[in-house]
Amino acid sequence: MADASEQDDLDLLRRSAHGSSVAFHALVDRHADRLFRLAVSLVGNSADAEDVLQETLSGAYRSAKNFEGRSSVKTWLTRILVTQANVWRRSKRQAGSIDEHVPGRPSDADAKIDLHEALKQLSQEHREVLLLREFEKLSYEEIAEVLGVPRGTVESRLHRARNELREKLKSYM
Amino acid sequence: MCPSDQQLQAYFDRELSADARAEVEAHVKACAACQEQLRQLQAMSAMFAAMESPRLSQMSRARLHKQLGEVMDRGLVRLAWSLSGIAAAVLVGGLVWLQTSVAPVQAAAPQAAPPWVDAMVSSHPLTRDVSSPAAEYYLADASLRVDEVP
Repeated sequence: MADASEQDDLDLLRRSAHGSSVAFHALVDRHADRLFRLAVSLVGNSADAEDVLQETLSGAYRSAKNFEGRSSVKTWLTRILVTQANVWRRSKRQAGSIDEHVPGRPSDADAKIDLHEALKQLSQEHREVLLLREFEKLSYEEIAEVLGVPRGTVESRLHRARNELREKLKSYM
Repeated sequence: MCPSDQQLQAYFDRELSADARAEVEAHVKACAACQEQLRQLQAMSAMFAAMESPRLSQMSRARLHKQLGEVMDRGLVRLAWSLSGIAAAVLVGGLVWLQTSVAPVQAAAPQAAPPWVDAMVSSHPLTRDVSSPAAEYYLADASLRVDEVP
């Protein structure tokens, strides 16, 4: 059963689908920070993250009528964002201008810088699943919905990603 | 026997059912190797938690709302165009329908009467021979009639 926050999201999205711009702006305010943080983690810089976020929310507005409520609004928005980040990666790769992403900005300690570097070396699949779990705190089921893969795949992918990261950061473990 | 690595990870992520969780928990309390694995998972999570979280600045947030407002306005303009297009199509369709359905009725008026009408007219006593005295009487102006039929 949806909690109050999810219900609020759902109400706002339904009103948006009926043309309420006020409702959509309110929905944006509820999710923009979280989505922006994930966008920066996935694309590596604030400027591109803003573009990805804008594409994500524009797409969400256009397809609000098609939302069927099979997942939470939060998961649905996250899924659109991950898709948009992949579109961004493909376009950058085609243009030959991709700069491996920076998940957050390391602050001062070596450990943070090394985590940042280690994440850069992971495959996109491993990086996504780790960020969705560790940054977004999504459940396995939610990650499965976001990535469009079975829950078992999430578990095995997360396990391999953590092993790989642990190997790269073993001096800190 | 130790749980599998994935089971231990699911335990750490609080993704196990209550029964499975209790089982793993009981094992971990007595297993140094599993405790070490959990400690490493915890250490990795702590590193993620310590990373700075970028925030959307006020200016970026305002820019985002402005851009989304433009997207929504474009949506409304597209809707208005679509509706006016539909209205125009209905209007044109109505006019075409009127042209095609009313014009034949008007055109039919001067057409010759069908043969059965001609037959009826020619066989009727009044029209069979309009030059007969009876016909002349009935066809004459009523004011000119006399009481008796000639």
